[in-house]
Amino acid sequence: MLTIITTTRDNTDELGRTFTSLVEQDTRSFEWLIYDGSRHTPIDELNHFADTATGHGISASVIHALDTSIYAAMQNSIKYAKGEWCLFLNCGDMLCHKSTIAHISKHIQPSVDMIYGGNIYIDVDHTVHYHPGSSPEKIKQVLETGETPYYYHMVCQQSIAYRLSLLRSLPLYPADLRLAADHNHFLRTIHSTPNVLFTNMPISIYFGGGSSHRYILNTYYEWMYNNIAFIGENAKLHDLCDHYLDLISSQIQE
Amino acid sequence: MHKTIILSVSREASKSSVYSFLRLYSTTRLALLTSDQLTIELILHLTLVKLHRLYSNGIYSSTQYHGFISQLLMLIRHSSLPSSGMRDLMKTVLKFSSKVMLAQSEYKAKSAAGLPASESVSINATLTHLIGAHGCQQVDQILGASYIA
Repeated sequence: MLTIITTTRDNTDELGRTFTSLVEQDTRSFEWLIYDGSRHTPIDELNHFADTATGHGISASVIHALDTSIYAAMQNSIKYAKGEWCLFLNCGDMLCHKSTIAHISKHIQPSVDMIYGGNIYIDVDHTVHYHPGSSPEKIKQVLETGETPYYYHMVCQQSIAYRLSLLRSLPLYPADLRLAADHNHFLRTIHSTPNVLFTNMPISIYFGGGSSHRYILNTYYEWMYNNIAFIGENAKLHDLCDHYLDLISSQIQE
Repeated sequence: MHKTIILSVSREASKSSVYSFLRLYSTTRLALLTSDQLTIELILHLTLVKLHRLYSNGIYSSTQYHGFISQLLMLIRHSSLPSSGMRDLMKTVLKFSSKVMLAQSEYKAKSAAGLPASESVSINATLTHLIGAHGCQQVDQILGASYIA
């Protein structure tokens, strides 16, 4: 069974979007775990979402805990998941299609530890970007040669389903990264296990305006770090650096 | 026995803080002309610590802070270091930049909650290792009296 984990913190407005997306799923063979780190929002407001979801036939619950970062929250939340698999659909994120969970569940098999697909990103100016994703082999090849930065086709954590045992053995957050630990984890995973399955189906929709957007320069630093950390020995390092340095410079000048 | 290095953190905005940073920054530029990666990495790390201190004490703005990080990355990019050395130094700067944000956001969160917050920069294992590899005397020459060993 798949556990959809939604980490949230004082943001019930956007939680409604995630709730609707789950209620619209054409299967009920999943669990919804709301992992709440609110400092101000009463727990009753979170319980209301879980109760309403239960009314729609979804097994839903709320855990309240305070963690030091979003990645710590995500990692700690898996202790409460009842499924063998999880997907982090955080507050405000949505699934692409009503059959997304059924589609992911269909691909779960003993030889697979991680399943991922593409995503749709809606920027703060409402422009829509479709990121189809690409296979682990293609991503590793891009990193090996450095011909193009691992930037345009980054796989987002909302579009990744993890076997829980994978997250226990290879945790999400001890990478010292604040904004791109999920990307670092993805790259570590595809380099450390062949049990990764790419599906052409877009999985999630997520929206701009979060931490990555607010701390855009730090985001670029961490994306650049990830890219350099996994680039091949003989890759075009100068070209890669120039790409990110141009991005950083353009933000500083704004 | 582990050697503990504590960098002093002054809350005062003084010209000497800025001068000592600029001295470290120009030392970094010169160091990049050498081929001794350990020396470069040590000086670079100390420069980053100093930069963070100026930023967290409000002497440098966020724009200035990011501007210097960007310049450090540019310096490394245009150095004649071999690929592996360049990659290591880039990672040092990028990882440190991320930690600074983490420290800043925790400091702000604690301050907002009325909890005691420390502005001190914990020196990570890399720097401790580098200082150990060089011996403290050389660090003394670089930082003058601004640290206690």
